[in-house]
Amino acid sequence: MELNIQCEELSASRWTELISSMKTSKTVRLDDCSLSASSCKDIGSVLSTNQTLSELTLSNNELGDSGVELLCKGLMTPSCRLQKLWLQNCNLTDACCKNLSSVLSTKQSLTELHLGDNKLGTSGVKVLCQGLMDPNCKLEKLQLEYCELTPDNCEMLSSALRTKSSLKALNISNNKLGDAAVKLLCQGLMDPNCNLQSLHLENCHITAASCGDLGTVLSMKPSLIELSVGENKIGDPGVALLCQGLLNPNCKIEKLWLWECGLTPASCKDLSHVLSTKESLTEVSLIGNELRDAGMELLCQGLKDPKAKLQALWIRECGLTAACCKSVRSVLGTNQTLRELHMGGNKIGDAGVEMICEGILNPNCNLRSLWLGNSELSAACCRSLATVISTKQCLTELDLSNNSLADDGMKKLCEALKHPNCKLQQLVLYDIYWSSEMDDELSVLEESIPGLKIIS
Amino acid sequence: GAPGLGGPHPLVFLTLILLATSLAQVTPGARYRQFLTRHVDFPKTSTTNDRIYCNLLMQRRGMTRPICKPTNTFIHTPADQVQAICRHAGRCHRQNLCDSNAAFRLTTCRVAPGSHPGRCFYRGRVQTRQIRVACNRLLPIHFDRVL
Repeated sequence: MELNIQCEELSASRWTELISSMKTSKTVRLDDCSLSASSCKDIGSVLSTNQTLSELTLSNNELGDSGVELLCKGLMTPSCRLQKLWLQNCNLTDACCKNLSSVLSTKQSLTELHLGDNKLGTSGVKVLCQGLMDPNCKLEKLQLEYCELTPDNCEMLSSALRTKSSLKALNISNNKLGDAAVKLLCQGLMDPNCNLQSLHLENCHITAASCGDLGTVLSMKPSLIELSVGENKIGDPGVALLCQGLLNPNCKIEKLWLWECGLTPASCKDLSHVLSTKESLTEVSLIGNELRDAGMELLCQGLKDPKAKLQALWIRECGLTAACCKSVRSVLGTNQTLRELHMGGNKIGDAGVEMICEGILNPNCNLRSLWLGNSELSAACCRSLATVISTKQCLTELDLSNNSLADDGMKKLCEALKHPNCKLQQLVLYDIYWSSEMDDELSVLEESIPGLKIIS
Repeated sequence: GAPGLGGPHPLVFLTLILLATSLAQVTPGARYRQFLTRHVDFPKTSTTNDRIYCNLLMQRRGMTRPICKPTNTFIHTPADQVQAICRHAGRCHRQNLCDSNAAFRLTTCRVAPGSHPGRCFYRGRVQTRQIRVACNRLLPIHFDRVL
């Protein structure tokens, strides 16, 4: 039984009702419900009696350290079998880490702990790591984003990586770590005991200087299938080093996030080579890098290779124009694995979209999801879009937000939506200005087509 | 009925008045309400920082499901001052787009690259600027841009 409440103020009587249903729930989510420390007493008692409760989310509530202390009391009861716990943005500090640490060193059932957006600091995280190191701890996922970790924490985290073979996912994004600390982590990552699958180091103040070590990890650890170094200025030199590791046959990377890394077209040769070689690679994000048309054309070459198995590509805000859309059209006409293309935030305009539509219409293309928000589109490209909508049955999701399509353009799209071949499930139209008449027409249309959801 | 000089029955007047007031509320009502929900937060909800402000407000105002709304601007002024842009407090031009005379305190939220449906994270930017809105029957119904 699932209890899922978000953004609601709960009256006293409602709370009593909820506590009652929590006693038999398997998952409980009370996100941003104005809960406080006193609510934790009740939740604590639920934890100590409900043996089936496996997931608990209390993010975005001012629970405070005292609230968590009460929760931990419940967590520590032998009958509690909680597996996943989310306490993001709960106004926690280092003071509660002792309690959480005790839970970690006792509760073998706990596999996931998410503590992002709490000022735990160096000392708090050190205490947490002590619990993590306990042999009883079987934690698989640990998330400490925006927790004010410092380089000093990385020695213990490195030890944890060396010892905790259960640890599959580590997210320490948005903490000021720096290259030296990340190199320490890499040492832990390379330990034979380490089975980490997912590593997120976004905005950790990393530069090209750590990319050699990260590359080595990639070349030695087939278990690492997901790596994100987004929002670190690693630049072209950094990516070159990462690609060396990525190209190693040992590397089985599946998801690679390199958004806002300060990359230029110069990175695209290496990236293209990775795209055309690494058959395990299914998802790549390059959002917010000035790749420009030249860079995109290089990437497209890689994507046309029969060995390219990419399924999802994010190239939002990469400084692209209509000029590269010819190459994109070519990719869409040959590549059969690409399912999701996120191209918003580029000035590709009507001309660019028309070329992309031509590519999508090719029978080889199996695209399911196309995102063209904020692409300087107008009513002029809606004819091509309409053809795609009413022809390409595999397309289930289309985003055209933040484009001035106007009533004229919208009318063409509406006609296409009515077509029996249209299998669109989600049409995203945020921030497009249309008349009240068009507004009514869209409401009526949405109601008449059962599978379709128009999001605006 | 009461004797009169040949004008309509008072009940007819009453009916007409009721009809007129209800019509005035019907059409722009829903879009205006959505404009308020999405774009007006006054007084500004207090949070630790602008990033958390955006994460919370975007969620509270229903703009994170099923898809993360890519960008959204919150205006930190009373609704009636925003409404006034469509009347005397703004310069209107074609397509019913009106530019505010005054500058307003704003928080613009933009979706962060790592987000995906179900997990929406935002970046917040505070500024004080004039804004452009679309008006329908003297009510703002669409936020066009920060000027």
